Amino acid sequence: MTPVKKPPEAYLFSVYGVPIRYLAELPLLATPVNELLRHFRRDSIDESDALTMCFRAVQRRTDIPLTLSSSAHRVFSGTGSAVEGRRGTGLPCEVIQDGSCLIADFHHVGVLVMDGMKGRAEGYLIQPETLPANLIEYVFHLALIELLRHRGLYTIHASALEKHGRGILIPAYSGCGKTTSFIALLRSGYRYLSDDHPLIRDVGTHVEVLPFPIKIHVTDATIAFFPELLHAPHHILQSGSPKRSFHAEDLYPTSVGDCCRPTVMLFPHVIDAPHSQIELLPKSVALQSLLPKALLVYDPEVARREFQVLAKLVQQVASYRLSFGRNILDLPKLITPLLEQKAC
Amino acid sequence: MLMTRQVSLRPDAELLVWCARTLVTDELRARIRQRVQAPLDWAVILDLAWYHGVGPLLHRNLSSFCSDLVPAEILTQLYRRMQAGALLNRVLVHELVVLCEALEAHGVPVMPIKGATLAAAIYDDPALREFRDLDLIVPEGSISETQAVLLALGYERLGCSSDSGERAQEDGPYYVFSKKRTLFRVDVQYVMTHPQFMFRLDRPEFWNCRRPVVLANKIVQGLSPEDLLIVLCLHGSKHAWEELKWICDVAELLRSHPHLDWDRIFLNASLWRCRRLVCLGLSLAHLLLDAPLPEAVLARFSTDSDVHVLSPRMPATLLADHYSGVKESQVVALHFSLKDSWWERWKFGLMLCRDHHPLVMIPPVWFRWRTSLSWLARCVSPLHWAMRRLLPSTIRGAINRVVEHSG
Amino acid sequence: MSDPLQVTSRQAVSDRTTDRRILDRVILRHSHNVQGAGMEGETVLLDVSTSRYYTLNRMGSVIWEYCTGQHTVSDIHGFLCDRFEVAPEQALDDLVVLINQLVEEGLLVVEGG
Repeated sequence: MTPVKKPPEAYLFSVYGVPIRYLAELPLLATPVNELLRHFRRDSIDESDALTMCFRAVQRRTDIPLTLSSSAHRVFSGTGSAVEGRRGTGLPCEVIQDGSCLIADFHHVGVLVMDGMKGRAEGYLIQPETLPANLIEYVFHLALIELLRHRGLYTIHASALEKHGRGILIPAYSGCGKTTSFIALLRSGYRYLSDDHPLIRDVGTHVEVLPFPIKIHVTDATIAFFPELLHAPHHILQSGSPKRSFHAEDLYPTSVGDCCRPTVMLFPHVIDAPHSQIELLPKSVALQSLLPKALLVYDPEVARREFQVLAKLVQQVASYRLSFGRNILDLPKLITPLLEQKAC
Repeated sequence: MLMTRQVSLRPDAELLVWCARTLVTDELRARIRQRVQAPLDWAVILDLAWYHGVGPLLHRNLSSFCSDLVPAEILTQLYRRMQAGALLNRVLVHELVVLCEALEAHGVPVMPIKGATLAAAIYDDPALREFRDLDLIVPEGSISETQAVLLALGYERLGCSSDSGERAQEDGPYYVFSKKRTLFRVDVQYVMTHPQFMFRLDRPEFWNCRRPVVLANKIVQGLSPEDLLIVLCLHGSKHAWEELKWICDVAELLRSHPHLDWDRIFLNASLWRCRRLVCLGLSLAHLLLDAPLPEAVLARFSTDSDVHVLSPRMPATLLADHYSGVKESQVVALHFSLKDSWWERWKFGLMLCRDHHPLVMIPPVWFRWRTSLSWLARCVSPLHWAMRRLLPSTIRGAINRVVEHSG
Repeated sequence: MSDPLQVTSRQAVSDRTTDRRILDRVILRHSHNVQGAGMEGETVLLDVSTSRYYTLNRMGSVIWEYCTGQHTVSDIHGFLCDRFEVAPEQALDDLVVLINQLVEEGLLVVEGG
């Protein structure tokens, strides 16, 4: 008797007014996504306007139903900044443009086919039962941010926090002190927006930052700075490779922040000095520093719009270079006056 | 036969020649550094550089390895000129692409030559080659259509008040157009001509072997390197190689294309009766600019005494004794000396005698055929007198055509 | 027989006149692929076709501002001399160099001549 394949199960989300319908063939394809988008889960959505994302499991690469037209061309090859600093995925990837479709080929992991104009993404993962959950989450997130771009929601590689309705962004890759700065501010009462990839949107009068709460991933070196992390129980600070992770609300008396207007942007780098320092950055330098952490776009028109939003963001914030010294726990004393000063 | 003379370059001209190339050896670099430390009239060197069209190359090499020794003001002048030239090049290339696309859209086969295509195809930096005009080859039968396209694009023909197609054909093979209030000047050619010299450019062999050239990120069809070499050598010799940049073109072509089909080059040059003119161009590029040539190619003209004698005499304006040089006004003598066979030479000589060409009476000092040509004139003159008196013009014309075109 | 140096001098003068004519007739405009953002007098440019970005300083920003397909290089030179305290020759040098760089990078397109 031929086993009957179950139809994919549908999961509904709404990300700041953008409805999303996610179809997963297997529970193991659904769990990481539900975890990633747990704050955006909905019982019903406006299906007529929904982004449709469907992930399927295949046994072999040859099972993936992919055909390219003669006009298809490669736009990117490598591990790239999409992967850099992304929790150790280190995933080789080739990106091909074929008409309005963008195909991300992750070789032995699988293939993503994304059509931003139509709001559709199809993911084919090869033997997903052998893949770590964070890899499935990563591939899904890649598709999600590509589709959201076409709806005016952009992602930047940054930490984001909020205090008294004013947002602070810390754009940086791994190893620059981003997460350490983030936790230092979080524990002093800042509200949590995102550890890694908040969303931004142009609302006309300004650019706002939107929370995208995910688990916070920390290295052992970061944990060592903060006593509460050092002594956190295992069910809160979960083990992982190469980083451990936790939910902010489990450890800190904080909740997820609200959408807000960012007023300060910090570009951190670690120095071997007792005290941290900040210096004001010219806006052109700030924009240049921000672009590699934001712009990984293949559609020229989307790139144009996103660039304009990023430029507007830089115009409205005060940008600083943060030279991160050893006095990590004193960071809020250095940063909070900047937020209040900008507000004035 | 005249004794050959050692013809040397002026010291400032020597510096120019050393710098007029994209590849400079360590030994040459040392010589250049030494020379710039000697007393030099930089104003003259700059003027020579502009005249010979090698300012960008001079700037590149002086600024690369003796900027500490050359007066800053000189380098600044060269730099400014180079930048302005680069901008002009870009403007001209843009227009050239527009013209080629417009002509192709109207079904006119077109091949840009010289200037812009040379800069793109054989120089590692297009800004290194100065040019002013846009030269296009079109088939003779497409001249009218070409003119119509150019007129529609705002061009007007120079030296012609009428824009009718019939008139264009009657006026001979010179079709020069300019666009009002712009720098654009277009030279449309199907033949390369000079008094006593003609070479068809719209040959099927050229069209059949076209190669793509990238101009301003667009593809246009240009001459193959082998055909380009022949055209460059003919063009240079047509002007007695008066400008160093034409020799540079040959040298850079040889440097950038080390695997030319030499059998094809010499086969075609022989068929087209310009083999020794090509040898002259190769000899100049090799002797003056150290252009690389295979031994087998060098052997083709190593025993050619005329090439040996004439090569060191060009460009005339660079010589220590410029009176010993070959000038453009003496190009008929140059062509006479470098005819591929004795039959072609003496057929040419008969024509010169018939036309009472000044070469017969006042040959240049370096011309080794003066005595022979003078004798030929004395022998032929009575025969020409008799023909004029005794034969009808139709028969005279037929005889002249047989003499001109036979062989 | 004329002195070849006299010939070369005449050629040189003619060529310098031509240089001026270049400036009076060349018009430039922004490439369609470029998006610019002004930041405190400087400009950041993004070429969406290559994903490369560039920064122009104050003078470069003014030059960029005027490359709209409406002004010649000579016009822009005049604007620079009005707005900045700079020797005209130096302004011209900087202008031509920058234009060449921007055209080379595909950020500016030559319009006229």
